[in-house]
Amino acid sequence: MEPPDLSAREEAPLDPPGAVKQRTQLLSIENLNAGYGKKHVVFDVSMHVGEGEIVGVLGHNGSGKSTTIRSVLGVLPPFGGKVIFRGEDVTRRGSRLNVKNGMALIPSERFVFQDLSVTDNLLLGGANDPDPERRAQRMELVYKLFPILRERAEQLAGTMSGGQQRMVSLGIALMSHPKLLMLDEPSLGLAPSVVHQIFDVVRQLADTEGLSVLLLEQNVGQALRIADRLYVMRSGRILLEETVEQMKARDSYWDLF
Amino acid sequence: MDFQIWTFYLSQILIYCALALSLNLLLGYAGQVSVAHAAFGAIGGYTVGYMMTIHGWGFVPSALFGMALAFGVGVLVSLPAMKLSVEYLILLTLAASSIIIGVFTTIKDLGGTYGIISIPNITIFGWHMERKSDWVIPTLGVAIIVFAICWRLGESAFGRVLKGLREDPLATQALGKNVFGYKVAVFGITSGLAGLAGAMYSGWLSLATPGLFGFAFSLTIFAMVIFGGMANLTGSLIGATAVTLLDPILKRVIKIEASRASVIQLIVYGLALAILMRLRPQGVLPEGRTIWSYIRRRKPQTRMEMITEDWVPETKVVIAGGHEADVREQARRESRWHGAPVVLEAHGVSKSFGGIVAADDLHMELRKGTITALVGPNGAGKTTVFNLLTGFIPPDAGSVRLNGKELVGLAPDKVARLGLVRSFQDVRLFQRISCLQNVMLAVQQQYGENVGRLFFGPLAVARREAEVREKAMDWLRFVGMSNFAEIPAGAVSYGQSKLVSLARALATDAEVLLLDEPASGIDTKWVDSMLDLVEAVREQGRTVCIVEHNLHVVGRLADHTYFMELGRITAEGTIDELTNSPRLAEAYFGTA
Repeated sequence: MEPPDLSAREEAPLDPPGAVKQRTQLLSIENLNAGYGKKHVVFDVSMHVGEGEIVGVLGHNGSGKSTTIRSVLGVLPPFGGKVIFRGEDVTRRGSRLNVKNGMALIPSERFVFQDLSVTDNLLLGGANDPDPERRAQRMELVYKLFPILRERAEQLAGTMSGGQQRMVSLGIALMSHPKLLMLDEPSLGLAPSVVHQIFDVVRQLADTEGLSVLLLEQNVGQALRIADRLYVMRSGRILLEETVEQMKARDSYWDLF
Repeated sequence: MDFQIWTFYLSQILIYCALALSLNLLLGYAGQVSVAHAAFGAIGGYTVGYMMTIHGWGFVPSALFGMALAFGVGVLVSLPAMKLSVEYLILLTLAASSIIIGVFTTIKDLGGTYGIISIPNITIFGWHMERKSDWVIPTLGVAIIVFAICWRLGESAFGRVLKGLREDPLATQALGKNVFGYKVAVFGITSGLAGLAGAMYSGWLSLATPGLFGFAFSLTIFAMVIFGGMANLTGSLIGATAVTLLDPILKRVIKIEASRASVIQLIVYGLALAILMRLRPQGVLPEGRTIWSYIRRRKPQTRMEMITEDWVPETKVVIAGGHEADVREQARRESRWHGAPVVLEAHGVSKSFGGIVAADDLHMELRKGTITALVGPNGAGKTTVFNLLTGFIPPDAGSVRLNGKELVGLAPDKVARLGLVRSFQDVRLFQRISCLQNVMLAVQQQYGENVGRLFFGPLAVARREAEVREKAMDWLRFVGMSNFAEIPAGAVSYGQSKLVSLARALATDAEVLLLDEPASGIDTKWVDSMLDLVEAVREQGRTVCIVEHNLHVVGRLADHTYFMELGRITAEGTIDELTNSPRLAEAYFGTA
């Protein structure tokens, strides 16, 4: 399979370096507070993601990254704060409507429907889309991205290898034709070339379709390669917000963690 | 009059306690769902009725005989149950229940559908049971014996393996435990105890009828266990008492007439169960809690409080910090690999599933005191190789030799006991038991895993158990997790669980360790500590093979690297040699 052609982007950056891009906001998180039971995990987090923008969220285990996106999707009701998505207040609206409106989240755990075939897994991801033609197109995109899934279309997802199951779960999220894709550690357990390729496709979708991405990643190098802007989280708070250029200009970013 | 009635209920409670306790050992500790518990009781009850009325045996030998029969039938039922999932186990025990009761109903000597209704007066050790109140002492005796047996088995090295079975039979087997033997043993023992309780039940009521031991009664015992709390024996006492006392309380204290009381009883049962499931899904006394712990208001430490972002493993291993191995260093390591003796040799190993070839004529060598890496694209069959080497998947062809001994054809637990232990990509810790218990479970040849020794060598068992605990603690300290010893494994973070799983694999003392993605998903900060630990293990002279995608990890650890694609090993050498191959770079390593 040919890796997607990204030379155009690398040669001609969309904006001159340093310029602040004016984008339409797709998602704004305002002073979000969240946690589990009595345990407060996320404190006054504010973030925004523009259309077609890839925003990286860095920070190590337990810094509140996953809790934040779980609250955004609506599977974890926040303690306080607001989530505004496509101009509407969707705080506490629940994940069913949010997914219908274009959110998708890929958890860091391996997540597939074990006893369904690969095709059925993918179709379930596209269940909200009434247009069969568009579903077929999305399926084609997923298959192009992961050719092995086309070969194994009828295999039960639970019988595939760990890395292949990660591919299926990424495929499920892409099938829902999301406006906002929230990726929790997508590189986990995948071969380096596959990681590279997934990240390239994500960038491509952002540029061509205006897909917005919240990318939670420990693999800082890969995240810096495709992101536009970065947040660094620590102890449930936002420590820093920087553009990729600013971040790259630092000698070391390890002291941030 | 009143005294007589309450002693009647007391005996009933004690018999039900015995049934609930034994079911809890099976259901709560070992995680084996059985809805045939009353039927095993019926074996005891009917044996008493039959031997006493037809053959004129005394009660005590009849009851012991009934217990032995129930044990035998329990073992028989457990044999086909071994590889079944929970749903089928329920069906199988339901079928066993129907068959046992059905067989009793068809035998004429057992009174057909009426059952045996004229069990003569009973004498226990020379003491004549004239009134119902005389039964309090013998039933109390049986309840105490059953409690003692269940407690001894459940809260020991034996019980630890049972909990392992409940949490993850596969991981338990990977640690060298004979899963099959344990399942048969626990099925047999709990069935035997149910038989004993059933014998008391029939003796006490002077009858053994199909209705007495029907399916509904099995479910009632089930409800007692769930109500009281799984894997909590005190909870089962509470459960049995509450379920039994509901009837007299409605009838005598609240004074509802008998015919209405039985209907209201059902409604109360239903409501109580529904409310309990909502408020206390783990039962009145959850696993690991005692009434005492509630009185002192001590709460167990919970999940989120333990995870702090500043936490680092407190290990004694000197953390060298990340250093990419340079070319010279790699060459040195490669030559060390070539000089070391072969410990594990796979020769011509093949396996296909249907049309898919998972492994094709594999040749691999692991050498003593070195680290071998297995890299390759997703789905190349790397995890399958681990499964083939350790016996989890039997190969179609080929041989695997550990120090010259053939492993193909051996069960995974046997392979583990011979010194080849693997970890899992998805970690597979036993979630509901503590980190320390997880590591303790891995220690081989434990004295207290033998049922006979548990009862006949308590001092030696206690001494050996302390040794096992100390050893497990040492390994937890080695990976820097000793502060988390008492925390349930399900409550630590992902990276921490990887450290515990490394400690668990090390505690088996296995000569060869197969580690499946030991560093993936671990915080960047900790990766180097993890690698230092693996290097320290190599220094001990152990042989390690890792599956890993992170090239930083492979570059630092591996003395030799195999490259695998589509079930074949297509290249080997140092990691630099592999990354410099243009074909592999394109297929796997990526150009970046």
